[in-house]
Amino acid sequence: MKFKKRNMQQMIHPVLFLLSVLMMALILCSLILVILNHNPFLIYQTLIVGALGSPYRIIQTINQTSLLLLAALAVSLAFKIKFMNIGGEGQIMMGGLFASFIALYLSHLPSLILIPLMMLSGFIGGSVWAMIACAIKLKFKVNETIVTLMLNYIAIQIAVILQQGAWKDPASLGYPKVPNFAPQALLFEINSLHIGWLIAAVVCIFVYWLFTYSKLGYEMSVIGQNEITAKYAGMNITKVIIIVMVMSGGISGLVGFIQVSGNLGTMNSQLSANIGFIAIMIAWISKLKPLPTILCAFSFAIIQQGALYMESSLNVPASISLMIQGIILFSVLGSDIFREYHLQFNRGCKV
Amino acid sequence: MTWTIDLIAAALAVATTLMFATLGAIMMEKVGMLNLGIEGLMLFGAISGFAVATYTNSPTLAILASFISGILGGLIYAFLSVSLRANQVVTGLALTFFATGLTNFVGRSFGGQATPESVRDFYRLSIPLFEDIPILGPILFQQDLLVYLAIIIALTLSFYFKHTRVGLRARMVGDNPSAADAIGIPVIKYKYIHILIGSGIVALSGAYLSLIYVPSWQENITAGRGWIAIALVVFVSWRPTHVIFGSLFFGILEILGTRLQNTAFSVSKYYMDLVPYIMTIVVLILISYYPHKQKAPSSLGQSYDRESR
Repeated sequence: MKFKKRNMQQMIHPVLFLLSVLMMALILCSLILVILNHNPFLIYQTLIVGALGSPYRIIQTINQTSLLLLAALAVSLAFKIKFMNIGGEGQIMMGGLFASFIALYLSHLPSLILIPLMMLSGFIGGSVWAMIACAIKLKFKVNETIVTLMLNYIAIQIAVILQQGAWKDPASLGYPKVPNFAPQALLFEINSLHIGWLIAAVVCIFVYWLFTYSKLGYEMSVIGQNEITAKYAGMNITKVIIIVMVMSGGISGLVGFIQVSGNLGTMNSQLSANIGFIAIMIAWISKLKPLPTILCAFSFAIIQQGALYMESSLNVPASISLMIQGIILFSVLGSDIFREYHLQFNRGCKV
Repeated sequence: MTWTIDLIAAALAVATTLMFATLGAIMMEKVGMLNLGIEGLMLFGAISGFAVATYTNSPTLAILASFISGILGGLIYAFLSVSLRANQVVTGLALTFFATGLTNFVGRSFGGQATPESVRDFYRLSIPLFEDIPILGPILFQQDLLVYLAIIIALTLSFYFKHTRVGLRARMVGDNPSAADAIGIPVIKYKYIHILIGSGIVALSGAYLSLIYVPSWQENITAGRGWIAIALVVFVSWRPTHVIFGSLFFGILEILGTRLQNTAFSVSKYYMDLVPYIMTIVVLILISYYPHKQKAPSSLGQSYDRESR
């Protein structure tokens, strides 16, 4: 039994392929739920109701979609040039910290100046954190996977230190909590929906333009596929890596900014909430393409918000969302090879 | 003096968890497989060890169940990343998240229960006469069985990778899979076996947490120790014997942080918690200066595709 490359006639239509992968994930997931003595249909139904059942829940789901979408786009940028940036968590955290710094110390400014300043500062925070990993990789040729992973925990620990020390709210009676932001520091709202989605949409269009129409995007895909080719074509690889990582880290930083300014109204050390890791799953499932990323981020947001609701209504742990997302990713990871290869069974002689 | 002895003895318990996880991870990384699913494998080991201990009251079965659950988790990872050549980093992450969700889900019914005492006490080992030796006694001879098991695994792995034919071949698979394939080493088989046994060892680390260290089942019982294990692999530059000292050092840092809190040197625990991560990055940079002494398996993180050799 071995893998054999498909020829043109044997190629499967991408949409058909994706549908069959999702079908497989659904079957696997239902199977596990049945084994664990739960009714899968009830669970799926509750997920949908919990995520989209009321205007308030829809707003929550849209907010979560924006965060996941932004973080996943950030990952896509880095993965496009084969920079295995798994430091989304840390970059989000740093973006949140930098934005909070502005919110806490310049809170007298009017909101029209303060919000853009926080946003810029969040972007810088995220890109500074990505730049550290990038500099270490370029200067010392050190594998970026482990460095970005370590930087996640350093960032989270810095947040803990600030929350327990310098930024602790004196009014909170010893409970380690950062003070709530002044009203000027809260993200603008339209019909009680803050404009996080707008930021995500703009970034998404930008990334789409970058990948499809720009010279940089072209260089990125060449570098991602074959660095030697890129070098012979005279591309400045170092420069491209730096630009891309500034953008990737910065976009993650924006997630932190939206989280503190739009969703929490304060800073805490759990604000990255695994978004940076889940973004990697989303980016991988959508094959680093911006438009599928929107769909995937939306479905993952539904699963997460629905699971939160399920925790209270069915007493099922909210982390069931992680299990479902894990199964979807397993299915995608396992099926990728069948896009280009199919199994061939040898009869008789053994090779 | 008693303070120091007490500290080291407590640190050794933390170190044992790290030792199993790190040794398992090293075993996989030696054949070129970077597994970010360590945290997930630990959770599998923790819950299955705990469940079996609660139902059967048998310490042996509990450890065995935990080892097998690790192998099953490793099988998912191996099948996807070796046979189907999926990206190792992403597969590992998926495994961790799948495991977090699944174990929280299954573990809800165990919430608040403690590990049966008959199981807990089984591992407690005091060697008569030796345990009364001052200083060394409490540190070396009043530990539980699994501490010794971890040390034995460390020594065995070191011998295996340095002095046995199979171990040397395994390293070749990690350093240059195409060359290994060319001289007839079954690369896929080597990868599978090392991933499966390595995952089993990682799972023991979870069992140590839920059976002895905590001892009960809690959601996210591993509390990020799986990630520290991945850091430790780098920190000891892939050398199994150094894992003993490396994990003891990380263990001391963890315990020291908590204990210094109410003393004259009130170094915040939170600063102490930063140290392992920063030191890992520093070590990574330092070893990059000595490429000829490079211990990292060269093909680490790349999937092996026979066609493209």
